[in-house]
Order: sequence, then C-alpha cells, then structure tokens
Amino acid sequence: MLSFQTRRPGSPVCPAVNHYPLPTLIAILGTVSRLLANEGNDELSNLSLDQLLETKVATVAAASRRDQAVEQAPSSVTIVTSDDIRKLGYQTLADVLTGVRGFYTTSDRNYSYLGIRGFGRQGDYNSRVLVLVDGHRVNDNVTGGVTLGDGFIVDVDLIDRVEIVRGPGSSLYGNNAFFGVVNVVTRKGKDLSGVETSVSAGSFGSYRGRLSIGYELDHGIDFLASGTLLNRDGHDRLFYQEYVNPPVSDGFTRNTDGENSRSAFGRLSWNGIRLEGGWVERTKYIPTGSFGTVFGDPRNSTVDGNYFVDLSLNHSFENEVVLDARVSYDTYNYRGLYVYPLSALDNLSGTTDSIEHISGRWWTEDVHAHRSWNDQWTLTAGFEMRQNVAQNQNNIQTVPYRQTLHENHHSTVWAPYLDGSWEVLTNLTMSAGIRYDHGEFVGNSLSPRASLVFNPITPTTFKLLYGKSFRGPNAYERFYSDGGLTQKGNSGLEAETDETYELVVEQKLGTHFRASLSGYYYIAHDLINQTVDPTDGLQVYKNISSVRGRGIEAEVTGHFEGGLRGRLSYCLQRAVAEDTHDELNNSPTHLIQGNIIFPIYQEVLFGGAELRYVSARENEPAGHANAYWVANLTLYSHHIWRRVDISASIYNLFDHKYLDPTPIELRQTVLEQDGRTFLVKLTAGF
Amino acid sequence: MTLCTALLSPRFWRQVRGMTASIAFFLAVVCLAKDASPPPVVSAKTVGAPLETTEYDEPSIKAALLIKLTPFFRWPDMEDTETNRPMRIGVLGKNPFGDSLNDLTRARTNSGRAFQVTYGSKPEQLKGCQVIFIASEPPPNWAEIRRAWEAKPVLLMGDQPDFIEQGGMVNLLIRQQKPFLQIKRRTIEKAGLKVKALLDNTKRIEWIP
Repeated sequence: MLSFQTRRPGSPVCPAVNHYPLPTLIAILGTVSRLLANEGNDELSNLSLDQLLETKVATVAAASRRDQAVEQAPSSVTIVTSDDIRKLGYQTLADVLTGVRGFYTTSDRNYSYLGIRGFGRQGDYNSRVLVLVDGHRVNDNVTGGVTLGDGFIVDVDLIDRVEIVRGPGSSLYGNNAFFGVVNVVTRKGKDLSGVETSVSAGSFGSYRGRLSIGYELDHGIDFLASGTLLNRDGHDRLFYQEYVNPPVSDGFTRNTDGENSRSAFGRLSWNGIRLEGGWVERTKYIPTGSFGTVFGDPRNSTVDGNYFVDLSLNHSFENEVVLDARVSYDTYNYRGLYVYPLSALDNLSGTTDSIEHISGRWWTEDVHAHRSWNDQWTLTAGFEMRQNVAQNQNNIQTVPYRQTLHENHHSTVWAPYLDGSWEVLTNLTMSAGIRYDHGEFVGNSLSPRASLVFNPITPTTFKLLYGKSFRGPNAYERFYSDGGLTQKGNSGLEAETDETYELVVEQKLGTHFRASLSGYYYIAHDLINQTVDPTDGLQVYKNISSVRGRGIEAEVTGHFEGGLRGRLSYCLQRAVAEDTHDELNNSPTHLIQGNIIFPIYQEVLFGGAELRYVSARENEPAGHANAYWVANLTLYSHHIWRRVDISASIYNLFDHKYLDPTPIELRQTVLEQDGRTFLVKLTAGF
Repeated sequence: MTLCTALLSPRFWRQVRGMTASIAFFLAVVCLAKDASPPPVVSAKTVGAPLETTEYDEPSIKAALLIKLTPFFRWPDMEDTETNRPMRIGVLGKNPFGDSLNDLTRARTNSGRAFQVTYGSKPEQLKGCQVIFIASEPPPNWAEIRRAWEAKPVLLMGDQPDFIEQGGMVNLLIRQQKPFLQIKRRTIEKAGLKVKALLDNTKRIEWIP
C-alpha cells in the first residue's frame, strides 16, 4: 500500500534549518551572495583591455583624508558623480544633496538649509555640516555657514564628484564637521581639453551662462579657468496670508524674489603643487518680510560673497610617506539691507534702512603626513592652524543715523590630529583617530573616533562606527546684536557636541545591485539654538537642549550595461528633544528618495527621473508642513552633434503644492515652494 | 596720513602676521619636499567628460587585468595554437584578490587555453607557473624571487609603487581612480618573453625604459 508522508504545517523543509537556523541562513545568504558576485566578475571579464583600463575604482578621500575604497572607508559614504548631476538636471549643490539618502533641504526664499538624519535647524546657515572644495574648507569664519544654492563657490558643471560622508568628522576636520562632511571634487583641465560653454534658460526668467577653459599642457601642467553669470527674476508675485492687512497690504509682494550671482573658479597644478582659487557674489532679494522688515519693499536684500586662494602640495616620498600641506586665504563678505518702518523704533513715519556688514578673513595652514606599513598599518598625523584675522560685524541705521552693531574680533584655532588603522585580519580592519582643537571660540575640544570594518565574505561589509564631533559657537551667535531691534548676542555660549554610534551593512548583490542598511543613534548636547528671550522679546542663541536621534537607512543602487542605473532609499528617523521628548521642528520621520537614469537612444539620449517623499514636519508653535511627493524629469542628450550636449528638465513634474518650515525670523511658519518649473540647457565644447 | 593710520593699526599687523606665518609655513614644507621628483608622464589623454562610469572594487579590477593581459605576451615554450596545456598563474604571498581571480579564471581561457591558479607563500610552491603575481604582503623577499625566476620565462606582475625598480615586469596600479599599468619591456624580453605589438597602442600604459 502506498503511503504518503505529509509535512505538518509550520514544520521545516530541511532538518538542518530546524537545528541550526542562524548558520543555515548565513550559509544561504553567503551562497547567494557568492553566486551574485560571480556575475559582477563576469561583467568585468567581458570588457576589453582598453575598457578595463577606463573602469573606475570606487574611492573616497573625505572619510580619512586620503584616497581609500568606499567599502573600506570608516563611514557611511555616498558618491554623486558629474554624470548623475548632468542626467538628473541638478542645478546647485543643494539639489545634489537633496537627492542623497538621509539628507533634505528647506528654503526660506533666500537660503537653502540642509537637514541630516532628522536634524534640520533653519537659521544655522548650514554650520553643522562641513563643506570642502577639493579638500579646502569653505564654511566661513563668522557664521560658520556655507551657501549651498546659487551662491556656492563652484558651478555644478565644474564638479567631478561629490563625496558625502555621514556622521561626525571632527576627529579629522574639527569645527563644523558635526553631522557630516561634504567634499566637492572639481574637474581637471584635461577633462575639458579646450573651451566649454554652457547657457541655460528656465522658469521665472532664469538665465545662466558659463565659459570655461581647461587644458593639460606639457610637463603635466593642468590648467582650468571658469566664470559663471546667473540672473533669475523670480516670481512676479507671491502671496502670504500672514501679511493680509487691508488697506495697508493685500498679502501680495511683487517683483521681490529676484536673484543674481557671479562666480569664477580657477586652478593650476603641476607636479603635486596646486594653486586654486574661487570667487562668488550672490545678491538675493527677500520677498518674505523676514526680521520684521517692511513687507514687499524691493530693497530688502542680502549680498553674500567670498573668495579663497589655496596653495597645496602633495608629495610622495620613497619610504611610502605621503605629505599633504596647504596654506590658504579666505574672505567672506555679507551685506544685508533691511528696510524697517520707523514707527517700530522711534515713533516716526516713513522707513529706515538697516545695513549690516559682516566681514571675515582668515588664513589656514594644514600639514599632514600619511604612511602605511605593508598595507597593514596606516597612520596619518597632522596639524592645522586657522588665524581668523577678522570676524567683523557692523550694523548701521540710516534714519536717524546710528551704529547699532560694532563687533570686530579676531581669534586663532590650532589643532593636532592623529588617525590610524590596523588590519587585524585580512578581512578585519580597526581604525581610530583623535583631534584636539584649541581656540578662543571653540575652547578645548577633543574629538575621538573609532571603527571596525569587517568583510566576512567578499560581497559583504560590516562597519561598526563611533565618533564625537563639536561645533563651536561662532561670532554671529556670540556677538550679533542689532541694537534692540530683533536680536542680541550671547558671549557665554559654549561648544555643542555630538556622539554618534552606527552599524552599517553593505552588500553587493551581483553585477547589478548594491545594498546598504544602516542603523544609527546619536546624542547631541548643549545645542546652540535660536530662541526668544521672554524678558525683552529679542532673539538670542542659547545652549538650551540636548537631542537624541535614531534611525534606519536602507538603500539599493543598481546599474546595468548600456547606462541604465538607479538608486532607491528609505529612511526612518526620529530626533527628539531630550527634556520634553518632543520631536524636533523640521524633522521628517520618513524620507524616500529615488532616481533612475535610463538610456533612450543608444548612448546619445538619456532620461533621468527623480522622486522624493518627505513626511510631515512640524514647526512649533503653530506651523505644520504636510507630507509631500516631488518628481523631477530630465532629458539629456550627450554629444548630439560634435561636442554639444542639450538637456531639458521639468522640476516638480506633477505641480504638487508643498511647504517648508521656516526659520524663527519669518512671520510665516511655513512657506510654499515652487510648483512646476522648466529648464533648458545647452553645453558646447570646442 | 591714511596710510600711516593703516600701517599703525593692529588689524593691518594681524593680516601681515597671518600672511607671513602662512608663507613661512608653506616654504618650510616645500623645502622639506624639495627632492620631489616629477611624476611619470601619462601617455593617455582623456578628452571630454566620461559618458557613464561604473565603479568596481580594486581587487576585482586587478584580477580582471591580470587575466586580460596574458594574451598580450608570448612564452617561448608555448605556441598560441597549443591549447591543451593550461596557463598557470601563481600568487605569491597573501591573496589580494579575494575570490575574484578564481571566479574569473573558472570560465575563461587564454586563446582557448584554460587557466589554473595556484597560491603559495614560497617560490618553490609555484614552480611551473607562467605568470606570478607578487603580493605586497608579506613584504616580498626579492633576493629569493630573483633566485627563483631570474632569466626564466615567467611574467612577474605586482601592484607596489617600487615593483618595477625591484625587478618586476608588469605593475598594476590605480591612479586617479583608474587602473594604470607600468611595463618594463627590457626585463620581459630578457626573460625570453615577447610583448605583442597590440599592447603598444593601449592607453594608460607607461613603458619604463
């Protein structure tokens, strides 16, 4: 008689799984990973020698101040390439960062503010992330901030790649590397090999023109020079309910959203010596009536300008010591024109101009040497000094004339640092670093970090990371006061600190996919926060709170032959104030970011689509920004005729209405952002 | 008068001090590195920005290069038509390729000739190999290597900065994120091997005289 043995519901298929579930699971995952990894090698073996010599090795320099493979970097790293920038239609560095896992930006119609891992304080002028251009620090020495929009010192067309390193970076970079480091690597002259020009036109009367020239000359001299002009008329009119006050104001402001900027960038390098410089000046008119100014007055405006000159040397000695040294001079100049009703101060009719001048100048010297011993031990030792020769803030009121702010300061920061790694096993690397910063503003700050990078099987990498960072109070937070009008200084501020713990798992999934999963926890103490002093109603910066943040970030990237590639990420994050357990303002719980680049016709026409979801954000006490989806679409043609590229982009494709929380100086608690906009761009090389 | 005021102001002298310190610092560093030698001139010239770049890990790229380069060399005792003998590759020292080399050689051939990979820590363990990759770890014992393979038809590959100076033949390096080859033809020919002309036109190769 035939009998059939049936499996009970829930019983395991294989006895081994029943007895050893975890090892079996690991074995299955390992086998699958290995099989998938073989596909990747197959793809490489199908390339010709010429093609193989043009493949790129994934490296990052910002994570350890030296080139290393992304997988081995002691941080969670994302690289955005120039190809991504072109095909996804990014116009500014803020656009680039908005597409990066865990990052989001807000705009107050003057500046773009960066949020990272649920922490996005508008009004901090991006001073909690360190931005570098080819390793040169561009955060200024008065506000500690950096302009990420059209006022950024490098035109996006000149970017070769952007390295985004998440987590504390103070153990190598000191002040401002609080939640992350962004290193913008620029193109070389030989990448242009001639003259390149670009013109673009877009919505709201937006025109941009760029002229660049770059060559690699004899004896390895590389030369690049570029200039960019931008003008944007902005919205003809904008409506703000908060300013509806008939018959004085109907809530509309007209022709007050314009913007223009000019920038230049150049570099000359030879034999490891590099001279590089940049200059930018950007004027933005302010339509929002911020800081209690006269709403709708077209004179309300800010002008931000900075330039730098950086001379650096990179030299490899015969004994495998690599020396990097740089000296640089930077300036930052800001001029704000704010029109106030006289009645607010002096009980007079008419208006008065409040003119602010911020001027920062500083010298930086940095030298560090790197040595490796048999690729098993590496050590980087360095010393950095920054001499802030001017950190000046002045403010005058024109009618009646009076000087309401006159704070001229100077300071020095010096910092030795040490960073090393040890390959304990062939697949296990430990690294650690420490930096001590001393200065008048930053006090004495010690920033350690430690990490373990483990490759149990070839396609899998585990990273266990710890780091501590700090941000010193800047001159603006300590001394800015406009004579009792809106804001006062607080010279008693102390540095804020952050400690982050993170576990990252990176997994190659065959030829085409790569996945990463990261869980992090951070606690930031003594945060410097803009608040209102109840005794006089003035805004003032105080060390008032601690914040705990935790989250999970998951990402899958894929690439296929022919140019099809994409990235999809999801972030679950929660950042709360330690005392009240309330979620922070401007802190979305969910972020979904995705993009796909797809070939349409051979290697000539490509499409780039981007999708971004940001969940609801609060802006206490009364603001609420709903969750939103935004989609962007770009068509990009490469060398459609000789060296001519053409692209056309539609931003906010479905014309979704969405809002961003605002900084405290605005009466509006949320601001509506742009609807559907267009841009056409033509780039030609000669 | 204005000039005198400016010269006497502490702000002016702070600027001068800052500038002087910076220049002195840089000059000191340049003096330290004064023995800087000019970098080798790269023959390849990239024109225009790359259209699309896919990034791979370094071990996989080097393993693929190792395999891909072998058909460009001719061994005296191996005719191209003789495909029944496998091409034997030896890795001396700690395997730097992970699983990539095994994966790549499993299904590939050199002009119909199968690959066979052997790993060893001593030259004696790699006898009979036509290609030897000398890993950087542990530090190679060059005296031992020369004794084992000098003037023998064995292609010596490596990936260390001073590999060619030490007596290596083909150096697989990474420069500016891309693979870059150094090849010393004289050492190769001295060993009785021939370089096929096809390799002459390949970009990103520095021919060491």
